[in-house]
Amino acid sequence: MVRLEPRRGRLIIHVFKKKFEWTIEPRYWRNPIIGLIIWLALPVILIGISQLFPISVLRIISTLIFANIICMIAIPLTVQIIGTGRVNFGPHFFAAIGGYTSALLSKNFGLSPIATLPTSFALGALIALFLSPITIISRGLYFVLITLLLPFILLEIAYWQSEIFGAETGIPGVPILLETGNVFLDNVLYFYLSLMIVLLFLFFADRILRSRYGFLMGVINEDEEVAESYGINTTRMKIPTFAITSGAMAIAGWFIAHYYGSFTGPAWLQPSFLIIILLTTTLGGKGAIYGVVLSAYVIASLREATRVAFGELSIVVLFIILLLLLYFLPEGFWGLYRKRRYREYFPSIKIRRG
Amino acid sequence: MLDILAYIFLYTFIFGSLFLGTALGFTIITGVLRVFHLGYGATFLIVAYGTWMFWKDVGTDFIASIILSFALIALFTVAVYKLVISKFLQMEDYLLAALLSVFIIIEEFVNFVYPEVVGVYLPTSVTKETLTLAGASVPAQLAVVALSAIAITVIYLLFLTRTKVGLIMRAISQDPFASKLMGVNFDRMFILALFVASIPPGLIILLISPVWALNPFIGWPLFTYAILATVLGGLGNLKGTIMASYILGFVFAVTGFAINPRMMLLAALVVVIVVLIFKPRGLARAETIW
Repeated sequence: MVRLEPRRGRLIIHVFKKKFEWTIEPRYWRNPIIGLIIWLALPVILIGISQLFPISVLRIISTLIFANIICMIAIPLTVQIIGTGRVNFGPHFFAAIGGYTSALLSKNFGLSPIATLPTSFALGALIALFLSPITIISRGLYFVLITLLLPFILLEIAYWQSEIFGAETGIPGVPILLETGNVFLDNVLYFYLSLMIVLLFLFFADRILRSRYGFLMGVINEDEEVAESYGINTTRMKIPTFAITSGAMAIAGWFIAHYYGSFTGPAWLQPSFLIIILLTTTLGGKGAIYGVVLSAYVIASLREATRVAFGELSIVVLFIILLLLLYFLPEGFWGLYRKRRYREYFPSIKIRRG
Repeated sequence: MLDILAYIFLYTFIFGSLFLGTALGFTIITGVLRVFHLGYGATFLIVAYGTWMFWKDVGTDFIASIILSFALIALFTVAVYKLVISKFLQMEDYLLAALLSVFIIIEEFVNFVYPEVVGVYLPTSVTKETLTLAGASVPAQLAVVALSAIAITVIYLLFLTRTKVGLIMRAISQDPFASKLMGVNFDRMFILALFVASIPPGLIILLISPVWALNPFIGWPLFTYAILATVLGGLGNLKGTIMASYILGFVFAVTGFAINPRMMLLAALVVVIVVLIFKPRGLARAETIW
């Protein structure tokens, strides 16, 4: 049956004939626990700060929710880049698939957000599965280009079939997820809901990347030909990775549609949103899923700060700052942390040309 | 029916030449530098709005303003190469993200200084006549744009095939490391290639501005055309780009005049995706620029 066996620094869980190992040594979990406590307490900390300084807590919580939305796309994207060895320049395409699916199903068929969640994931994964041959036939810049064109196609379809997709006005009247009557409380709840999704994504991404499957993904990322010569069936690795991570990105679209109460494709399919996601993954540190979280929060905060400080010039200033960060932090935010605490193998992104 | 065929014929030529004009520089960059320059769309904006700035705000003569705007492009080219491309050349994902950021910075800055309400207009009309062929009519200025694009392409072909600099560029496009061993000054040639590549889109935007209203967000759609033609052509092969431009022009014309004008770009995108799925390296594999 189930038996726990404590060992030095780790716990072995025996389930029937299978063994699962969980590292419990303090130096491994102390920092994640501290990070998680700070993360969960953010709204409370912000309320405390708002008592001392004249800041709009509501606005800051909206910024944190936006950071979580970026995380929902950037974490699966990072896993996808590692597992396929290719950089997807159309992550917002899959998010938009999720958004449109949720908005159309809930508006036209009256489906609840609980029902649209699996549908969005499934459709995102299904479309990715249909497109997955591109992970076999193209690589390098060609893969970048094909994926870069996908959002344009969706955008053009949205304009062409504007009666269905609403073009620039989008699809309004999508049922929202939470409504207590108190705007502030709603936003706090949305923050925790989005945080929960991000934590789930982080948990699964972490487990996958530390597993044998993650190790094989890392080998594919390092060198696909070498991986094949070692007998790894790269196609069987790349296709599920591409499909499932794309489905996960569609969940971000589901959240966007039910959080804002509408989904407007032209707003989310713009290159400026794409570059925010890409910079989140690169500034996070290559292949670092925890760095992605840090990066998303820094970028979302900078976006809000520049909006307040520079008004109409905010995007220019934001991207100059991000460019400078890219320039001076070649290993990203996680690189700063990992330089001091290099512990174990973790697959990292390696992009090849050709 | 005849007039529809005439429209398709005319606009295949016009759209095809326009795509060729916008994609020419991009093909040179991808062919010589082997870099996917996502900041290429900024070239259109710098030339158009740079000319307007020198002409209206600084008070320079119009022709001098055009020359100064190309000098501005040269400065931009050197800055992008020195600060971005040379820094991230070995890190493709960083390079693409940085170049796209550069484009957004330029686009948003132009939008801040000259928003659409300013009504930027450049008097570069060569003719205000209308061209008529078998019942189909088209602004003659568009034909001027198309003919100019072809002329620029011919000049560039002569430059690449008949001059020493062109020979060096072709050598780099064939094998960068071997050309380096032969003593090619990479930095200088890269900057030169970037500048040479920015001239055709600059001329196209100047000529087309009287027909297509200028706005700060025109760079991305024009860049999309350049991407489509270059990718379909084989990413850095001029023969492929020429073929791809007219194929896309035909797709645009047929969709626009025989199916639904709202589906023009969609049809072109689908054609490119389908071709790439079956021929992942495009119509002409980019072993060399020509």
